[in-house]
Amino acid sequence: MTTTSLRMDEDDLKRVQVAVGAYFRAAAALGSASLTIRHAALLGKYDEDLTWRRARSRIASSCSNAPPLTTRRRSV
Amino acid sequence: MSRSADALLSHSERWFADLEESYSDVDELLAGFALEIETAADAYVEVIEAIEGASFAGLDGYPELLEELRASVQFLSTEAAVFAALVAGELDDEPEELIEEDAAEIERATVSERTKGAPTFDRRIPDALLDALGSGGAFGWVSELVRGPTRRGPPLDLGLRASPKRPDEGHATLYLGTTQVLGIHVRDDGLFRLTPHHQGTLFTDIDPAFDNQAWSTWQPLRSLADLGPEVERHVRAAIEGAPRGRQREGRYQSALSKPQGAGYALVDREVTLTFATGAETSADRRAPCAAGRDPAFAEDGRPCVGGPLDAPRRQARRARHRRHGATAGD
Repeated sequence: MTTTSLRMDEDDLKRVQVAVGAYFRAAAALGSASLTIRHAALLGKYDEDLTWRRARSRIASSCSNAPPLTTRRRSV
Repeated sequence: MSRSADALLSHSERWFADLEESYSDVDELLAGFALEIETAADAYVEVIEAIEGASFAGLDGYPELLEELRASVQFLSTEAAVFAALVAGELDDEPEELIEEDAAEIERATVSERTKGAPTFDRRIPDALLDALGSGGAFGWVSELVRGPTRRGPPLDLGLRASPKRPDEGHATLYLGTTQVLGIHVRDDGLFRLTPHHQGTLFTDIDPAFDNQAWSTWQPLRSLADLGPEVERHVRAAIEGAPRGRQREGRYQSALSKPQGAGYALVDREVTLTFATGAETSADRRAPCAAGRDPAFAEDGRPCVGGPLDAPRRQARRARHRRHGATAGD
């Protein structure tokens, strides 16, 4: 992403603030989901449960099909 | 260890301690997982809606960014629905043998394969890169370049990054303010390459010029080390020849990155904070800058905001300034 010479206005700023806040909420939710499932896997207490095995199987296939999460950073 | 790093680690201990209270029921656990995934999808939708209406939404890489976010929303929404259905018992028709095959496949997969595409927080810098940048390393001169205090020289900073998906891959970026001057990349087979300024045009008139053919090809470190003197001449010339704006932009961030005795260590200089109101100005903080001779420093030597930056960057700098003040005053 390149730097533009466009002058951003107050509306843009508010939109960026909203976007950043929402982006971090998304990251927090994904981080929480990841920790939840990894912790459960580490405990191994559900290993005999068929629903858990179905979920684990689904997660394995999901991981290989997931689109790359956007991690764009610096613009120059 | 700095107080801020210590506090960070203490916080993480408390956080992980909370996980000891695991779900007692697998349905409850998976329902929570589905809800969190759905929350993430909803938050991405908010990001999309906010950016779509901005004046810059059609420029540069933003259309592509929006497409990526839409793909993430679709994927996460689907996954949330799948896990909700799983909890509801609506996906019980999958043969158990298939599940066991999948589980066996998971066990056989290497760590790298198992984590492919999965989010991870492992950002440890590859040893090969650290060695190359260390004292006596092939690019030790790059580290030496950035050690000097910002107020006495150009605003140089060295950013280190590791690939979140591929262990042993990473890169270091030498910044002049916020502008990349040189990128040093290593991949998991130990080969290195160099990259120039992202746009590739800012330093085209620099003599010697960046040699794309010779420097950007993956190669053993020793080969690049042989080219070191020429690369260093290019880097020094680029720093000196950069446009005036690039010499000033990012001086504040660079100054914050330097080792100091204020009780904090900078982990990531691009952490973004939100602000109470857009109208919140910092006239009191700008005042010292007006009196100071250096646009980036007040008379007492502390870095301060100001300069010909666009509004969001000014806001970001103010936020970092506030953070700096709060940390130093702890």
